[in-house]
Order: sequence, then C-alpha cells, then structure tokens
Amino acid sequence: MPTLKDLETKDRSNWCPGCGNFGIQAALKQAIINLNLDPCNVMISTGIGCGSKINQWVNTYGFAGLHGRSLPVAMGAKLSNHELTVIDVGGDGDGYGIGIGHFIHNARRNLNITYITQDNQTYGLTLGQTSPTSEKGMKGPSTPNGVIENPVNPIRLALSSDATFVARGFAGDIPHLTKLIEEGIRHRGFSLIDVFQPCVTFNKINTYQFFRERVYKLEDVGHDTSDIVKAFEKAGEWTPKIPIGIFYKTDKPIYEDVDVGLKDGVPRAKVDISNIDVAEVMESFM
Amino acid sequence: MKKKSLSFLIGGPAGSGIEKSGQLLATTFVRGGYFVLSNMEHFSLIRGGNNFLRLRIDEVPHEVHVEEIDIMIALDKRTIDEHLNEVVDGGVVIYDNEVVGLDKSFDSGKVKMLDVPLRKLATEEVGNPITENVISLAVVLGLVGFDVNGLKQILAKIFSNKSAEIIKANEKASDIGYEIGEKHENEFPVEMEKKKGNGNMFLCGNDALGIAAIKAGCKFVGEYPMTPSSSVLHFMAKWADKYGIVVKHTEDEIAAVNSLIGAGFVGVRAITATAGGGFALMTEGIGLAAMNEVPIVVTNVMRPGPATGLPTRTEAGDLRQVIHAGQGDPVKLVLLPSDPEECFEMGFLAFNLAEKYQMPVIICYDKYLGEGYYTVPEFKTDDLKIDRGKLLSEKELAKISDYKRYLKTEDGISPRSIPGMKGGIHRATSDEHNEYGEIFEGAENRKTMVDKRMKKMELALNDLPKPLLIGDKNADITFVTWTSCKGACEEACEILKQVQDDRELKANILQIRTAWPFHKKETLEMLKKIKRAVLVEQNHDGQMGGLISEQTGVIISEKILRYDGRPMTAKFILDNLKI
Repeated sequence: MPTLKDLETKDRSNWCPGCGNFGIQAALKQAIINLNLDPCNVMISTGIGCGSKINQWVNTYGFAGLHGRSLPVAMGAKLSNHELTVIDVGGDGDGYGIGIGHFIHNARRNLNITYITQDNQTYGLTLGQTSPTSEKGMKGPSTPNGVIENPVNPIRLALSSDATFVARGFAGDIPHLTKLIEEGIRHRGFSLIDVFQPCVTFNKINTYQFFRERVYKLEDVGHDTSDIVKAFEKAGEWTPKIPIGIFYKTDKPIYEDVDVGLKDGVPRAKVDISNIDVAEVMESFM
Repeated sequence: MKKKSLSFLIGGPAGSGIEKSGQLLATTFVRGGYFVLSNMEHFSLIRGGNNFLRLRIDEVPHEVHVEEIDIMIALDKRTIDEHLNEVVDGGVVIYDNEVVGLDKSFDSGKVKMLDVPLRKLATEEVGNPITENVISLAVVLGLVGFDVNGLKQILAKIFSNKSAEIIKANEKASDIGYEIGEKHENEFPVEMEKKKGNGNMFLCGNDALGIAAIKAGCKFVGEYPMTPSSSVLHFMAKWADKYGIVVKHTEDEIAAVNSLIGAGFVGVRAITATAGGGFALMTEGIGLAAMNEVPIVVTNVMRPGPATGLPTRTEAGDLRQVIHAGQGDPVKLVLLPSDPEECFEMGFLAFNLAEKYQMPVIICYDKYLGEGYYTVPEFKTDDLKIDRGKLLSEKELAKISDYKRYLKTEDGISPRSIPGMKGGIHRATSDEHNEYGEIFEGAENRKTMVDKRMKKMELALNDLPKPLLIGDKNADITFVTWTSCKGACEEACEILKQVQDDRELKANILQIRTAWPFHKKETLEMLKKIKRAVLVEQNHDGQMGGLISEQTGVIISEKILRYDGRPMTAKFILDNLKI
C-alpha cells in the first residue's frame, strides 16, 4: 500500500496560499492510497493551467501536454495500456473551453478513465479572465463589462453526453472529495468529477465562503443516482443551494471491452512486435 | 508488329462505377502478368461531374501515366468532349450512343468510334442492367485479344457470396462483350497476350504505408478522415482485428495527434495520416511530441491548398509546412517517399527512428502516390529489424538508483521508461524541464535541454535516406525532384534518350528523400557535379528548390513547376524543357 510519502515529490506545490488545488491534490493522493494503487501503474494526464501542474507534485507517471488536449492523451494511453489507472486532471478552461469537444467525445466513448476538473470559474494562470463556467455578469480583464453568455453546465453536458459516472465535489471538503475520486476511479467507465475549486486570487465571487453557504450533499437528501431525469433536475440547481456528490451512475460496456483490437485482453504495450508476419496482407493485393 | 502496351481511360459522371470498373480491368491484367499503373481523377463530389481513371498497362513497370489513350470507354458525352483529342490515331472509343447521344461530327475517321448498345445488351441479353460496365470491359479484352477468363474469375471471386445467377450474368456479359471486341481485333494495333501471373501486388502508396505500419508493430492509429489520406485509416481498420490494432477514428486531427502521443508515451507504436489542412491542426501536437520526446509517426498526403483547395487532386506544396511545423523549432524527421516501395521502406524506418530518436517522424508524399495504384513485387521483409532504441526494461531500471527521464547524454538520447515500469516514474512536461522532467526555467538548463534535443537531429541524419542520383552519372541535364514527380522524370529521361540520340542528350535525376534535417553535404557534393540542374516540382514556388538553396547555397534557376492539380507527366516536363 502506497503511503503519502511515496506520492510526494521533491518539489512542493507552488499554488497561491489557500488555492483550492491543494484540497484536490490532497484528495487525489488519499484516493490513490485508499485504493491501494501502485504509483507506477498510475498515469495522470493534464492540460495547461495552474491546476494542471498537479502531476508535477504527485509521484506517479504523469504527462503534462497542451491546453485542452489532456483527454486525447489519456485516451491514447488508456487504449494502449488499459491496465494503467489513467486519471485526467484539467481546468474549466481546458475541459469546457478549448477542449470541450474532447470532453463530450470521451464521455460518449465511455473509456474507463477518471476526469477531474478543477472548476474555479476563472482563468488563473493567464491572470483572471472569465471562463466558460463563469457566472453571467462576472467581470474580468477580457470581459470588463461582464460575461454575456450563459455558463456551461458541466454536469448536464456530461449527462447528455452519456457519461456513466457524473459527480461534483468541493475542494473545501477533502474527505467527501476523496470518496468521490475513489468511486470515480473504481467505476468502470468514463467518470466526471467536477470540483469547485475556489481561486483565492482572481475569483472574488465563488469563494470558499460562497460554496460553504450553498453546497449540500446529494446523498443527504436521498438522491437516486440511477435516475437520469432527477440528475438533470439537480444539475440545474444553483440558487440558493448547490448540490455536490454523485448525480448519476450507470453500468455500460466500456470502450476497451468492445474494441476489436483489444479482444485478446492484452494491453497493446505488452504485445511482442519483434517479428510480425505480413504475408497475408501482401497476398490480399495479389 | 503490334504494340504490347495499352493506355486506357474510362470516364463518366461520379457514381457510375468508374473506379470499380477500372480496378477490375487493372486486376485482370496484373493477374495476367502485366504491370499496371492506375490513377483516378475525380471531382470532390459523390454524383455527377466528370471523373476518369487512367490505366497504363505494360510488360515493364512505369510510375507515371501517359496522356495518349489507346482505348477509351466513355460513359457520358463529356468524357468524349474532354478526352477524344487524347485518343491516338487507330485508337478506339467504346460508348453506348443511346446513353451518350453523339452526332456524326465526332467521327473523324482517325479514331474508331465503337457504338456498343451496352444498356440494351445488359438489360435484354444478359437480363441484368448492372452488367453494363462488365460488357464494356470485355470489349476491351476482345480488342487486344486478352483471355476473358481472367475477368470472369475475378468477378466470380468478388461475387462469391452472391447468388449463382449474378455470377452467371457476369460470365454472359463477359462473353458478349468479348465477342464484340474480337470482331475488331485484327484492325486494332495493340495486342496483349495473357502471361503467367508473376505474383505482383497491385496497391496504392497508402496501402504500402499501411503494410509497413503493421510490419513495424504499430498498435495504435488515431486518425480523422481527410482526402487523400483516408485510405490509411480504412486499411488499418480492415486489419485491426487480425493484427490486434486499436484503430480510432477520432473527433478531429488534434485528438488524433494527441492520442498518438498518449500511445507513444506508454510505449506503443502509433501512426496517423492526414492531408495539409489536418496537418495544420496537428502542428502543436508535433511540437509536444518533440518537447516531451515521444515517438509518433505522422503522415501528410498532400493535395492542393490553401484551405480546401482542390480536395481530390494532387500537388506537393506542403514541404514548408511539414518541415516548419510547430512553434520554436521542434525537432522532427521528415521523409519523402516517391513510390510504393519507398512508402513501405520509409514507413517501416519511420517507426524505428521515432523510437530511436524519441521524436516525431513525418512521412510526406502526394495524392498521386497515395491514391495511385502501382504494380510492385512483394515487399522484402526478412531483413527488417525492430529497433526500439533506448527503451529500458524493468531489470535495467532496477540498476538505476536516481532515474532521470531526460538524462543528458553524449548523443542527446535519454534512456526511456514507460508507465507501468517500476523505478521509472517520471512526469513528461510540455514546459521546459530539467533532466527529471520537472518544470524548470533556469537559463543554463534551457540551453542544455535545447542542445540535447537538437543533438539528436545531427545524429539522426546518418540514419535518414540520402539524396539519390538515378540514371546515367554523366548526364547533360539533371532533374532535381522529390515525391511522385520522380516517376515523370524517369519517363522524361527515357524519352530524351530515344529522341535525342544524335545530340547525345542524356538526363538523370537527383531525388531528395529526406527533407528534415537536410543532407547538406551530400546534396552539395552532388549538385557540384551536375552540368545543368532543372527543378521539377508540383507547387508554385519550387519549395524544394528554396530549401536546397537555403541549405547548400546553390540556386537552381531553371524550374518546371506544375500547380494545376493534375499529375506531373513526362510530356509536361518535355514541353517545358528548353532543349
């Protein structure tokens, strides 16, 4: 069983003091420990943004790629070695802005990967512009007169994209978030865990206090996680209260189980490629 | 003496089965011991337009078609309007006048206008209207006296899972057509005798690349369809089951290249193919693979741009795009195959080099090669060895106490671990990083890491295909070219040899086979020995000429450039060559 020390890196996180990412990182590490995952079999794929630096400070295999493209990397890795636990962590700009197409397609693909979004409703690393999940009217340097569009609703988007595990956590409640991440990783299929991650530097609206006053747990109100209609309804709640927890969960065949290229069940990374016979292919052209 | 080679064209509106018919006739001749080259020219639409397919059938192989036509099947009037002037004197045009509707003015007396009531015969005699095209193909066989049984056998195989009636109908259609052609056999100047099949393959450049990918152990394909590269995706998907390959038609080209990087990172060989537009979307990913030192293979099958351009035509105008792909000088290797053999050889090599040098390898060729069908001998695979470079095993990792993924080494290549391996945990980061892979912005470190990555390029040059001098060493003219234009240049050399005997005009070819990094020394040495260099390219600016002058200082001022979207031919070269 890995310990917290095993998951530590030499460097310490350099997020702003009080950043919601500390909570997410703590929950992610604890989930890996609780699930007894060998760090060398875990790969964390990230995009670009403050939060995407998370894999710099979690001692598993990690790949920090391009803005919005963490999910395609995760997909390629998972389909090439499905024995790995592939966890994708990215921000709201990554997943719901520039990379929203990959989010929808990987949800409907139902790959067995876990997608954690650090949803702080702002662009932190580029100094506080509004994001796709910023509330209407929120101001930033790119939108001095306030956001005109409606925010993306990640939960509803995931539900309508046929994600098989849809949840929301709060970085200010680490034990609850840990459980969600654990469940998400354990779930066979595409899991979304959208996490409220207060940005203490740039988002003065959606603060720890904002969420503490509003969040309630779906499990506390007896929400039926198999009811997709109810899940849609719950996903629409914002004022005065905001639900966190599992909105929806269902079992469907995962992509890796159905793909013909993986029918022998052996990860492609472990296949012997030293002497492949292509005579049959060439004959087909004669 | 009758001619033993045949130039054939079938044309008509899209959706009239031109490609299938052409390929059917081609296969008949390939099985009958001939070398066939097939090129389909079509509009970017599904119905209508004027599409045509050319076959060049000969006892020896060719890599480019000729513009003169011996036999033409015209399925519409437009084919006759546009191509009748290409039919040689004594040639034959097969058409159904009930469909085409010609007046007498088309009969110049020089070309035999053979009106065959294809539709009526198919409906009334055969009893199956879809056999129209089979009848017309059999007329061709009759004209040249080529055994019709070959055609029947191929049709029987194609329709083997259909009813016996359909197979019978095809046989009858073959006999009817053959009889019609046979009546004119004596007066027709071409004779094609059936020979023993020589076991050659009939395939396109994209197929050859696909075979190379399978042989090289490629187990992941991420691709988004784009003409003229899509057949790579189709080919790999077709063989996915048999060879255990994950073939993913992704949501876009960005997902394609990034999924390749995910595969490469965990140790799986991966390929994608696209055309210029899709390649443009992949460029950021190519930089990522370069920065994180992940092996991937990216194919760009060129078509005329910019933007949508001429989607189904040919050009070679993406040289600058591929060599300069990505911001900040990302390391990459760029290979330029010119025929199916090179698609296979360089395709296999690409996977080895990608792993050996831990960087993206780009294979770049044009539509004419990608979608054109060639007759080639079986590829030799006995000597091909998989080289995974400095990929570590867990045993080797166990001996390393402080593993650094981006360890500074003499050759710039660092021993590589992949996820799942004990002792090799690391983070690959698109930010500049230190030897461990940790984000690090130090000035000294930055220089060290840039130098480390660039070092690999120097070394890779030794493994990359060198420029090739093809033909007579002491030539008066040297055609400097790349990708499928080579075939047209070869043909031009042959023709020059024949007609310029008294003037002893000899021509040869300098073929550039690697674009990036560039073989400066070798190219310069070759250029120095050349009497008269003529650049032959399919783009407006002479992009290869520009690259050569940038890299060697030699300016090639004489240029033959074609950028009308049509294939380069020997005729085009000779028409534009100042003799």
